[in-house]
Amino acid sequence: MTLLSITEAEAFLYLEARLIDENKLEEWLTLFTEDGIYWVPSDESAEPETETSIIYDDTQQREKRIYQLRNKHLAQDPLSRTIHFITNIEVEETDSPTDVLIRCNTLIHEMRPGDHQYLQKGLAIPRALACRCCYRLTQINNTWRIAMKQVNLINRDLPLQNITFIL
Amino acid sequence: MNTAAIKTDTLIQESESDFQVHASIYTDPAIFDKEMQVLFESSWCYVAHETELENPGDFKTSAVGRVPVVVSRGDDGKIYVNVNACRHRGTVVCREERGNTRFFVCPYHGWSYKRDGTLNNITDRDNFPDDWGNDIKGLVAADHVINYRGMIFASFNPNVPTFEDYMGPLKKYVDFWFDHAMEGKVRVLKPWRAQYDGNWKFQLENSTDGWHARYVHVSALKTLTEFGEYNPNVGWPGCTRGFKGGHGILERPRGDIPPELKDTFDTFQKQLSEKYGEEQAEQMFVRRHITIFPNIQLMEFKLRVIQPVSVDKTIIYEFPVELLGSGDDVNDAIRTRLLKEVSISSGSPVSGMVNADDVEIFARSQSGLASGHMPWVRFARGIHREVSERDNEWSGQDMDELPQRALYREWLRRMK
Repeated sequence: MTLLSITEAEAFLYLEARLIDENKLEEWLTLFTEDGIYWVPSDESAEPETETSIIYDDTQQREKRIYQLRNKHLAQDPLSRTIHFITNIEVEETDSPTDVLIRCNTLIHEMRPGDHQYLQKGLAIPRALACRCCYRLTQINNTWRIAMKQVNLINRDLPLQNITFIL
Repeated sequence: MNTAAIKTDTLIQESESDFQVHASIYTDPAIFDKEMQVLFESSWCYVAHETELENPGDFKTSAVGRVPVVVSRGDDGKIYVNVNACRHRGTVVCREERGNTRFFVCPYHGWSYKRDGTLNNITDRDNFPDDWGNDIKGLVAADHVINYRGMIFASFNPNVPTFEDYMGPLKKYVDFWFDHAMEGKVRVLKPWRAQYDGNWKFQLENSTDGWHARYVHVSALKTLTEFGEYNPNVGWPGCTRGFKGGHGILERPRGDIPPELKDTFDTFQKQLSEKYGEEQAEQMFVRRHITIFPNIQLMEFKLRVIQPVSVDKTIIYEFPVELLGSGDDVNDAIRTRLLKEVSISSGSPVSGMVNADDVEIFARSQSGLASGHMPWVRFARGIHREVSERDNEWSGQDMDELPQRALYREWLRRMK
């Protein structure tokens, strides 16, 4: 018996996905613990504190990211539309009595709208990004919070295009 | 294709009061082919940094223009650059980005090459005439390979001008960049990798363009200001420099050192003063974006490689650097500033606060120029006050389009 059932894990992941897909990013920020990390590695075996990652955001960096999105970040103007599809959910216990790991696969369909005549290359073209994800959740006052969200993109070690939206 | 037949001598128009570049140089595939041949494959081209190849057998795959190459360290400790194609049927012999190997073995018929690219074995040799294949000494080697302060450059032109001529007066500034490290050398970390839908020259122009930041990066500057990490420096505004050879520089004061790193950066500057004296240390300790024509940019503690793919597609590799011999404190501060997005120098070109906005503009420029009905692109800002020094170096104000003029003067000289 794990601390978190598959159904509960599913509900948590769906909530997170909905907040991202509905552009409720200020609410998305509250899902993390104070020292929570949002990590998109280019090499998942590299030490993120000293090696290069695509994204390695602590709380302040996540806040900056959302602040910039709300203040004319050109790469997110127009803002990406996303739809997250989540499958292959597994829940694992950890050595901590308050933490669990959720592993899942995520397929993100993304598109930046607002260019009906295809005036700008890369705009108005739906893209699919396949990711293998791992969440470490920790229970604080009976609420689950994200201590680590790790997103391994299938093409993480190749030259990427714009991923300034939240994965 | 006979690229010599393409007329390029009218594509750059310069007068005393204007400077225009024809849009076709960003959109015409035939011009792109000629650029690859003339600017990349017949000149010096950066292929690797020595710290990517620390041990014998270490290799990385790279490119000289459109020529795929393997860069490897031989058993003798030297670095070799070879065309990444088997001498039998031309099959790519090495596909990995990097690694370590004893031999490069072609998967098609098993021909193999040693770490330095020389022939190891042709399989089934007894099925050939006795002296067949004696002319095959190994993979096709670059004509010249040079290591300048850890940067490996190669050339496939036996008569390429000397590296010293190629660098010209830029050398002083390249040396300043490396001399930030107490040992005078850097180690490169793993790169950020990005691609964009635009011509390679957009990135080349952009990094020494001091004008665009207040528009393109307004959201990044606003964000850093909001979070207390940006103090626009009110003193010296900086300058631009351009060089014969197409190289260019944008100089800016380091106005974006976040408060928590300020003490360490002060110590860092003191390190330099003690080693080089106040005056030179002050010259060294400015934020300098250096373009080594055609495709290397020494940025704020990162080395950028611009890899053209096609006329409207480009890959960028950005390698953060560690300053060898400068101590953990200094390197931790530099890393924090780069990797954690606390300055306008930081971040990935696809997910960061700053460069992602540049890349967005490149796709937008490519799209606008594709019409063919906007024939001339302009680079005239500050042309009337350009200062010429020794006939091979120009300088101007920090937002002047001067490095861009220098690069297109060289472009024309070589391409016409």
